[in-house]
Order: sequence, then C-alpha cells, then structure tokens
Amino acid sequence: MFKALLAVLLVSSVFSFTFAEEKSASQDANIANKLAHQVSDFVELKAKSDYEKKLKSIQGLLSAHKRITELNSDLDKELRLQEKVKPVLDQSKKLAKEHAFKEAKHVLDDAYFAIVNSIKSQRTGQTLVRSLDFATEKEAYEYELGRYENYKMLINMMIDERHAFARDARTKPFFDEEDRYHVQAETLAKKGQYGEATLLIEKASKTLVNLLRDSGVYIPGV
Amino acid sequence: MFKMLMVGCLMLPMFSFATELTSLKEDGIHDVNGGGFSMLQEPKEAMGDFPRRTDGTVDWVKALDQKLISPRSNKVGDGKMTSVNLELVLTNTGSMDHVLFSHKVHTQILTCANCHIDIFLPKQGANFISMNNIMAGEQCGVCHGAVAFAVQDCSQCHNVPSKKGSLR
Repeated sequence: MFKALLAVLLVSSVFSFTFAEEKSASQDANIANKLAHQVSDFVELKAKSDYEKKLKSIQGLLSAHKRITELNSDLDKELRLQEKVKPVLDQSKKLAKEHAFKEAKHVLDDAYFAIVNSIKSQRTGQTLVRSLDFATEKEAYEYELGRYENYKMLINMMIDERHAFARDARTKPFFDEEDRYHVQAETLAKKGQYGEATLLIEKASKTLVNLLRDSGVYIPGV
Repeated sequence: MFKMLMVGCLMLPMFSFATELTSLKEDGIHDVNGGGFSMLQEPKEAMGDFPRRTDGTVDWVKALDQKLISPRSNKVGDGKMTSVNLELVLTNTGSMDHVLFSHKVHTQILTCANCHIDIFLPKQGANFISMNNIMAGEQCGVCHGAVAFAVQDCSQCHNVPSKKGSLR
C-alpha cells in the first residue's frame, strides 16, 4: 500500500517536473521522502521490538534452564550449553547497538532453540505440582480476598442483573455464613493476623461456591 | 464487558457466548472503508469447517489433529515448532479442583516465546493467576475468551481433584 503510494508520488513528481510544474513536483517529492522515512522508521521499530521480545524470552528461559539444570544429573552438558549461549547473547546485543535488529534477532534464534530443546529434553514426561510462592502471609490473604470478591461480584450480578436466582430464604443462610466469615477475616487482617484471616476468607469463598452449587451452577470441586 | 464475561463464565446453560464466527464487517476490529478490506478472507470461509467444541468455538486441538492447521513458529514460517511434554498441576484453586496445564497441547500450537516471559514467568510459584485477571483478558485470558475457548466451563481447566477435598 505504502509502496504503491510512494510510486505514485514519485511518478507524479517526475511528470510534474517535465511539465515545468516545479513547485508541485517538489511538494510531491517531499511527501514521498517523508513517507519513505516513516516506512523505514516503522520497519526498524518492528525489528527492534521483535528483537527485544526474543531477547527477554531467551533470558527468562535461560534462568529457567539454570534452575532446572541444578537438579539434573548431566550437569556438565547443560553448563556447556549455558556457556555457549553467553557469547551469542553478547553478539546479538552488539548488533542491536548498531541498529541491526533483524540480524540480532536472527543470531538469537539458534540460541533460543538450543535452550528450549534442552529444557524439553530435561522436562519431557514430567508432571509437576505447583503452588504459589507468597512472600508474606499478607500477600496470601490478599490473593484469597481477591478470589472471595470475585465470587461475590459474580453472585451479585447473577441476582441483581440476570435474575438467575434471588436473595430469599434459601440463599439467606449462605449469605449470613459468608458474611460472618468475611467480617471475622477482615477484623483479624486489621490486627495483622493474616494467617488466620486467610483461613476464614477461604471459608467465606467456599460458602459462596456452595451457594452457587445450591443454585444449580456446576462448579468442580468438593 | 468484564461483567458480561463474569456472568458468562458460570451461566452457560442460561446465557451462552456468541458461537458463530463473526464476519470482518461486524467484528469491530477491521476498517470496512479501508482500501484492502475486500481482499481479506472471511473467518467463515477459512474456518467454517473446523471442528467445534460443545460451546461452538473452534476446537484448535482437534483442528491440529485433523491437520487442518499447521502452526508456524513465526510469520515467515522458517522456524521450528518445539512441543514440550510437561504438565503442571496448579494447586492454588481454593475450594475448586486443581488446574492441569498441559505444555504439550499449548506448544503444539504456540512457541515458548508466545507466553514466556511476557505473560508467564518460567519460574515456580511466580505466576499469580486469578480468574479476575483471566476474565479481564490477561494471563490465560489473552487467548482464552479471545481466540480459544472461553472460561464458561470450569471443568475444562479445573479437572484434577483436590487431595485436600476442600480448602487450599
């Protein structure tokens, strides 16, 4: 599209010049020049962003590789790979400094596949159980509070906006129970007792899940 | 939008998501007046015969199995696809069943760099995934709810019984 426009403008500027419309020709040439610069800027920006994304990805996967390798029996082989990748990253950074982003990314591609393949060979067939690594009890509480608020918002919408079920005698005991747990949790959290507060807010969430199940919504779990 | 997604999440029997492939004119993304608009291929033409999930969305895994799609690792198609057979069981799921995340299924369609490290850190315990974020189009929600199945059916992901049976 851009190329076609550029061609039209250039041809137009040449014709204009032939017919002594110098002013118009010069204007067209300026626009063409400007557009050419814009296109080249765009291409460079895209190449830069592709390169940076790849570099970030490799760096992340490389640190994962280091962690995985520590548990691996064939340590030497994996360490050799990490050593091999280092100069490749340096070379790509050097190229990026010279604004050769496309080449820099190309250099990274081989390193990327080497790391990914190594992770693949070390991890294949594994099933890993993962839980979140909360820095503090407060962080764990806030995470669970988010889950509770999420359920609460969902139920409110189902009642108030979708009228899927109502606040009636059936749902009241659930609301009373979850409210009690929630108030207790908030009180403990204010005192800084986040561990106990987390257990209570989990109970509040669980009550809301039970309310949803009692209302006919299937939610896996027990 | 967020509210709609929230409700859609758990109310599939009552309110289902749009299941038809939206035409380019109506998707709110493409410029109908753009010069090249007429040259674009309609989703229905490209994906009309693709296998569907029960909610009507395209089943990309089946489409891959049936060789209807052939994912590329980059736009040009000169890279290699690397499928990693690693499964993760995510346990911070409250009273719900745990989540089984299959790298194999995802890396048959995507490359590692699609998710790592912009969306998920390849580090144990570092990705604080929440349904709030997913339904706001972040984390898993970058694809799920956009181009992959939405979070209407909990058991699609929450499919590993929790050992504790209830609380975290």
